[in-house]
Amino acid sequence: MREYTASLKREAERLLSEGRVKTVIAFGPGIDPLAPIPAFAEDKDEASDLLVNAFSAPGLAKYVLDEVGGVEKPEHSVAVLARGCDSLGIARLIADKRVQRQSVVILGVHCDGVIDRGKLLALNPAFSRTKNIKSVAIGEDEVFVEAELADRSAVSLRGRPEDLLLDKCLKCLERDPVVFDIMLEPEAGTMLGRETGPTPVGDRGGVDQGEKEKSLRARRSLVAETEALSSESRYEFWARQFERCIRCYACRNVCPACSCRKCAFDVPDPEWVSKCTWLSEQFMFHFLRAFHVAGRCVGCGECERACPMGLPLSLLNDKLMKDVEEMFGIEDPHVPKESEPLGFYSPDDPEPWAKEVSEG
Amino acid sequence: MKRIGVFVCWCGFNISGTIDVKAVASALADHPGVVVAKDYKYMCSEPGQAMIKEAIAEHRLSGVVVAACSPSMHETTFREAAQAAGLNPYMLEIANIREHASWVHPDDKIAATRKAIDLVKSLVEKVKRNEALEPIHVPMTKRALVIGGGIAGMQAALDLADGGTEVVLVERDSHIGGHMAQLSETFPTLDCASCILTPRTAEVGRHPLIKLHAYSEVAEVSGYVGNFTVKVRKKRTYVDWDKCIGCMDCMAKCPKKIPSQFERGLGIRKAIGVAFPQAIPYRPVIDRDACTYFKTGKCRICERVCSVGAIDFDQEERVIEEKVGAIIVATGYDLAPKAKFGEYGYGKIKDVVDGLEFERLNSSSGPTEGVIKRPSDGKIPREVVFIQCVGSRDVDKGNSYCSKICCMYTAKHAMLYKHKVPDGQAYVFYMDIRAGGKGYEEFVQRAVEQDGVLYLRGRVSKVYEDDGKVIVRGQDTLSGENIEIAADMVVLATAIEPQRDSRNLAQILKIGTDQYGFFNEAHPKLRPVESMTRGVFLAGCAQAPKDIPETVAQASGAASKVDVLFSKDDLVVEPLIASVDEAICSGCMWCEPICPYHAIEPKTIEERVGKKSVARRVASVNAGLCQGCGACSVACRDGAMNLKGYTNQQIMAEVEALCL
Repeated sequence: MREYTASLKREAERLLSEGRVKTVIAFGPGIDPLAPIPAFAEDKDEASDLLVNAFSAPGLAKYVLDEVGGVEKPEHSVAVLARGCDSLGIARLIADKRVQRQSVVILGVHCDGVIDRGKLLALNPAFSRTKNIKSVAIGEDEVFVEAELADRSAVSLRGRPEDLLLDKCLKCLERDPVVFDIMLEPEAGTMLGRETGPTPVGDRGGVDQGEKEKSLRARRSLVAETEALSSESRYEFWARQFERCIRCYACRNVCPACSCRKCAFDVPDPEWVSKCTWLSEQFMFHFLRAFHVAGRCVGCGECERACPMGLPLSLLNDKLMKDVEEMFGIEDPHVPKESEPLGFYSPDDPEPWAKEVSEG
Repeated sequence: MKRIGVFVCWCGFNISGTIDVKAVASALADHPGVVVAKDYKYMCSEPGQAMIKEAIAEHRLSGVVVAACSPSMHETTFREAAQAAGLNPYMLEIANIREHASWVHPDDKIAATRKAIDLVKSLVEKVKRNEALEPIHVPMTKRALVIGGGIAGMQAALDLADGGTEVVLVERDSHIGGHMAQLSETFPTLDCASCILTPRTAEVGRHPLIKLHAYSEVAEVSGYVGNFTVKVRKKRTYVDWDKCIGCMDCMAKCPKKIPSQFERGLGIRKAIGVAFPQAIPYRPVIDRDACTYFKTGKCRICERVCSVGAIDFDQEERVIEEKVGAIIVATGYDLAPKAKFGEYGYGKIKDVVDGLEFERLNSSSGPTEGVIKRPSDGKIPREVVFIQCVGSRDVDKGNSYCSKICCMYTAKHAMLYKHKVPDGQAYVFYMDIRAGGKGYEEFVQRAVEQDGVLYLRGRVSKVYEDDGKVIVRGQDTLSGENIEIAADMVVLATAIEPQRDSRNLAQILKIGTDQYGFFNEAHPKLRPVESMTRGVFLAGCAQAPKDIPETVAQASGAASKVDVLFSKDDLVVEPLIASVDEAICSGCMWCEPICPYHAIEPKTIEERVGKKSVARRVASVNAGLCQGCGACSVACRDGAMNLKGYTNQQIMAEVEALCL
């Protein structure tokens, strides 16, 4: 990821001092330099601590919902840093009428991927003593990380993207925001990573169709693999996955399509899904969630990233996304639209199952 | 504490023949919450109902389950009984152990009994979660819209207006009367159509309670029963009808002659004028496509001769809004188009005409002043062949239905022809004769016996022109002989079809059509004049082919249905509609586009969050529009939308009682 921290701070300070927004959502330093945490700046001082780098893993979309008040009379406007995946989530919240477009200022950045701290430490545990990240370069075939450790010594690592990037970044559908107000400029001279030149503001020309095709192929081949299984083996496959679920609801909490004021899973009556972790209830929970976001999933992969048990949750969503794309002829089904294919009834709606039934 | 009473009906042997009703009652007696469980031979009888009423009082019941036949049979009966005993009627539910158990499992008494017990238990669990509901009262506009000014629309409008209801009558043509105005005589009495029609058109024209929008179309309908808002598009006539005095000097002086649609192309009319002398309203319209001025920019003779300055070449289309509480759809029919019947030479051979064209040739006000002349050379035809079922009962032409009136009007045509050309010969090719109706069979017999019309049972295979004759080849299937007739003229009894744009109107009105485009009635036997949308009624051929008496009867039926609706002070709506839990609703409005009745819209509520007041959008349900279909509650992810009487909680309780 290129260096955007300086322009982020500059824009954040400007927006706050002009009073245009009350809060700027981005990242701030965590305890571990390899794990920056979401940060909320409300004044100039706090803005000077904001950052974004190649280790900024969490998605920021969902925080917008918490920060903006009611839809009709928003308590205040917020600015939010948005990579492609964040912007999809924000677009989702806007399409779901949970956030008003005018109450959010989107600070767009181009993103080449985020380093998976876990993968990095597995390859070289020395990085756990990182004091400073010195440089990161993310290329198409190679990722390079160099850090200064607590004892002033330096450590560096060169590896393939699949060995170092977050899984969700390997399946990235949008490297540039699909919606933004201000496109942040990478710092000249301090630019890190792949040199493609700064992305012009208001232009999605930065979308690399080749990269996107690659991501789509990756997603589709995983879906095709599970589709090819017999129903018994597919059941066994999902049973193996769902057995491990601890029902922490992280997938739901992080999901920008899961924005209900009161989640159906939290309603005691009717008890759609029981709180216990019987396998049947696990299936019920995951299927219900997949169907609740069907046709609305933005493919940001946050559910999978947040899952502490490493369940392949994107696979469920990708399967439904593929069906929506094929059955309803929706282009780019991950990009929120004004009307969703499953959000209205049309007599021409595809019903392949009806055909299957009639053909016995 | 819930106190539920269970009442198991034997329905004579219908239920008790298969199900052990005593076992059902005793099993339920032990069910948690059930304080009384009884069985009786006929629960719907007076003593049966009395048993329920007494139990409600004696055991202070909070809910009742009657295990009996389908709720569509006696739900109302039992709910009224519960209400009479002081229980909210919606605290009573029916467990259908007849259609759902005894009738479908006659061979397995044990399993049927077990199933009946399960069904009753699930309803007991539901009723424990029932809430007392009250009917909803919605104000209504006691004013009706009638779409179509044919005999059906006029009859409905007159019936309503005579009863004191204000009527808005919208007619697409420049005049009312519809197809009936084109007819010469009517079966089975042979009285002249205009003699019986024109008193009606005149009455419609002058009735103080009928507001007539001629040359207008219904563009948009919103709202719901009792409260429709209708947008009527008044098409451009290019004549200010308020100024016009109907002198028709314009029509007399207009130099442009065009084929008259009213005369089915057999006569001519002027580019400005009325279709026929008795037209109501008697006001001219300029045919923009034919008018010399609109084509060349020169002429304007009508404008010069008009003494009141009513001609307005710059007239704009107007859209006006009408508020009504009920709608009667009487848009009538169209004949199957010529293009469909190339094999009969229709559209190619001039002397092959359809039924309505023959009506015009017969009419004393028609292009031939009632003398039957063939269109090609004006000669009086000596041999006329009538072909029935042209496009009807013919799957290849897309219409498998019977057009119903052709047998009768063909007999009428043949008869009228014989009366006017006594030495001529009329042949009728038919499949079979359908003359069900008062005096109808006698009428057909009269054509055969008194007027010597020759009926030939069989289909025509070919019609072609040869030396000024129209040769008709066919087969008489009774004698098995091939027949060839050198006729002077052929009359096709072409099929009645819905108006070409009936599906479009159906969409505007949110009513259904069948595969052909005829509007669907709510029930083929018991609700023949109602559509599936409340407040929208049907009359005449727009619903299905029918003759004049049937059309008039249906129109009067539709009018009386409107009267029944308007006889109440306000609209009483069943409370079984969707409701929003505003505390849960996220305002995503996913429910809005899913609602087939457009009953959901967003509203803003103020809410206190901490010390501040925050405005928030939530969904709201229009009680008048909601039909309780439940689509919204399925679409609602967080379950904020619930169907009263069938809440998620109630359904889940039922399912759990059945499955766990």
